[in-house]
Amino acid sequence: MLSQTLQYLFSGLTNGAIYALAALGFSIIYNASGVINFAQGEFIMIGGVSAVMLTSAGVPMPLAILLAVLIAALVGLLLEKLAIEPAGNAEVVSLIIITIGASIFLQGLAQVIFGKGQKALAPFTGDTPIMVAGASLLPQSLWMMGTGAVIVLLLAWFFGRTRLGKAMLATAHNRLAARLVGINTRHVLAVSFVLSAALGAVAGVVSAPITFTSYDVGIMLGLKGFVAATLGGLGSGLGAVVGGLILGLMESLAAGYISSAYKDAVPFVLIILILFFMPRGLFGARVTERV
Amino acid sequence: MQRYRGLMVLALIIALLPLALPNNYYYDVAIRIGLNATVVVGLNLLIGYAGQISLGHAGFFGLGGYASAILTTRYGWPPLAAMLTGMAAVGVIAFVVARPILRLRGHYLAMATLGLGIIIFMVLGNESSWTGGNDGMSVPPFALLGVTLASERTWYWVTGAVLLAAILLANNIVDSPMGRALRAVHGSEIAAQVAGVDTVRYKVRIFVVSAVFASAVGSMMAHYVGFITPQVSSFFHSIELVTMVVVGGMASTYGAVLGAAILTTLPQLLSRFEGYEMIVFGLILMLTVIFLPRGLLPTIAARLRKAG
Amino acid sequence: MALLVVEALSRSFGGVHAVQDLSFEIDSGIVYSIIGPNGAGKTTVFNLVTGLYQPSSGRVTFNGSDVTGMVPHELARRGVSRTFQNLQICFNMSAAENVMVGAHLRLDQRLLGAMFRLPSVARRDAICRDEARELMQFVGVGKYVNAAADSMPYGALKRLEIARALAAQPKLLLLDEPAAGLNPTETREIDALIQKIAASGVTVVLVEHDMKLVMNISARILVLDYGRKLAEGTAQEVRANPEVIAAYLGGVAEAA
Repeated sequence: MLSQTLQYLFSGLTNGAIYALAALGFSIIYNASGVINFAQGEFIMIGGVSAVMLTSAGVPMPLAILLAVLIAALVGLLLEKLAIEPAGNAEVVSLIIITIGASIFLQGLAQVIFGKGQKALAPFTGDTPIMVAGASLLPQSLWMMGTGAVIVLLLAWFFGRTRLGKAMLATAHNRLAARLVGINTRHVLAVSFVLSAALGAVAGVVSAPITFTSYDVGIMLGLKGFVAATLGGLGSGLGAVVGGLILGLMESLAAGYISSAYKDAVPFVLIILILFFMPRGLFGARVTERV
Repeated sequence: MQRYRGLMVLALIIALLPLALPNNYYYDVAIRIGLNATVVVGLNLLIGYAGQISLGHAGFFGLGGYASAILTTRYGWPPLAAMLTGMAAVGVIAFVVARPILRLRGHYLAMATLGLGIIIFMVLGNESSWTGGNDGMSVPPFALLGVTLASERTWYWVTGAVLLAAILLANNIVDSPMGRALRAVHGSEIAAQVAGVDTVRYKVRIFVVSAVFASAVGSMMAHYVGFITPQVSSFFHSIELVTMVVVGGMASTYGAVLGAAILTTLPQLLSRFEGYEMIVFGLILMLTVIFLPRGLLPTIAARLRKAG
Repeated sequence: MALLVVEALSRSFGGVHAVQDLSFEIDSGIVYSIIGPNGAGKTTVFNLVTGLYQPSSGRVTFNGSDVTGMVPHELARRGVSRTFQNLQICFNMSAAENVMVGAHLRLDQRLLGAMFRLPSVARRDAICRDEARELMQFVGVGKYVNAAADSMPYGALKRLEIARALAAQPKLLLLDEPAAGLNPTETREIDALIQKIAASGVTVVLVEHDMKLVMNISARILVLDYGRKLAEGTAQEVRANPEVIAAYLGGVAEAA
């Protein structure tokens, strides 16, 4: 009994780490621009897919990972420059549709380049499960959780201690004021996309050995990342992480104790419940509109 | 009479088009355009006029289709009764979820509608004892008072009539106090509120109207095709519908028809580019919203006005 | 009888006390102005009275009924109308349609009537359109009757908003800085318009910075500072009040 619960816990935390990284990506872009980037999931996909293609082409794993992240970062930058900036001050609805269009475009591109099949990346340190109190834990899961933790710490340092990070936070709070003190907010926007893309790619790379990757893996991951971000409170870094972990755990427990067929429905039921009852999420900020 | 000019032009086009359609394949495309256009005319009221968004409208479409399918196949109901029941049921569901959902704005609203659509999709796929699961189920042809709609030609005229009726209703709504209230909600929700508009109530109403449109067409499509699968309520289909609104013209009923026409024929034209559909689709979506934010028809109309 | 009674109204935003323990009364039929330095809480008071903000405490009574905390459209139904400091115009509609929205509560708002365009709906719509045209003439933007809202200049849009507010046939009209951004000639025109409106029986409440305008047309003035009442009285009384003068650093004395 305990071992089963522990098993669900492990898989929940493992998936939760990915959702947390996706959620962070959403929050970073949302903070910098108020845009919800529906293409966030595609960054995850690009990371995984690129890594698979590069390693199959013979590139050594560490280099492949680095290149995969760089490719995603480049895509993020292009997305911002070519799709978001030209839209200017478009309405929220328009921006949502643009990012959805970008998401479909990137999927189409991936489908052409990568094909329709699913492929797995080789696990980083082998695939012999580690037994913990009767539950099995894959080494790759530890990689996922560990990478997630390291990234969260790096981001905390970045936003808390570096000038660029603080500039990004300032832009999130009040764009006009940030510009008035000399922060280049367009620059901040570009960096936010690059950063989110890199985050997504890392998540994609580190999860590809377990979850398999394919051209359409981004949709679900992106949506779940959004649910996690909303649960934690859009724009809150802590919220993103907490939201991601909670979502992962709830999915896992629901699959185990309720029904595995509706496992994928959990995030969507959750998002509707959150939006109905506490739209600001756990750690979201209170906003009053000035008239 | 000026208000009915566009409608008469479209009626003329519908009446004369068969002269240009060589065979049943073209009739099929025309019928699909007509059906999609009817859904999109309703969706445009919500997205273009009221300024809201729904990324899950295919869910209502699917519910309508499956209501017809299940009630006619498993319970032997007459098709019209099944369709009307589907519309009523969808209306109730839309009403129940609309109130809490439409208090949200922008991306929250988008996500809530998306979540709703996907939940419907999953239920339709999973409850195979009712729906036949992912393999779908067959649907008997539409029959009313002993007359069965079987041939393409019959469906063409029926679809044309339904489309014209839908446009008439939609235009009536737009040019009424309710329509102005909705457009005011889009223009400045606060201004609408202080003018006395209960903005949430209006948003709910138009959400329900557009959902019922989708349900009706879902039923019709199910009978026309003779078969239905959960894919009709997929996220991608919801996006297709939104794209038709956005490309053809936001806040333009005829623009919606144009958008449906373009996006229904596009896959046929692109069939040689098999595998590239998503790339093209994504590009169209992005480029249209960036460079033609109001959609094709309003932009063309504005250019003509400036030139003339 | 006082049309609007505000008692001990307070509203805070986090640590900022935008309005503190404010009480005042407005009799019907007059022009009442609320003035004060920037940040004094004038627009917040408007927003509280028109339902855009909820008060933290206090009470608002309109026409004898307690309306504290009611939402904007309920207040509109009772006869409260307003304009905005930052224009809230629907640029997706024509000028006339913007005004017609103001008359919303007096029209048939039902869905089925709209969908099937019942003759009664069509008829009242036509009447509404004519009324909108008349109102636009009344406020002085008659030449924009067939124009799109997004083609009108700033000054005209400010008046359009007033026309929209009047379309509701309100008992109480709140104008938030109607002269903001206008040159002296336009300000004099707004002055005349406000007097015309007041003469027609509507109680007007004004938030304004232009002291000449305020002193000229107000029957009574409320002076706010840091969310509190600093002074209240006729133009004469307020002008001579040393605390008011101090708060404005001589601004009021100059206008005298």
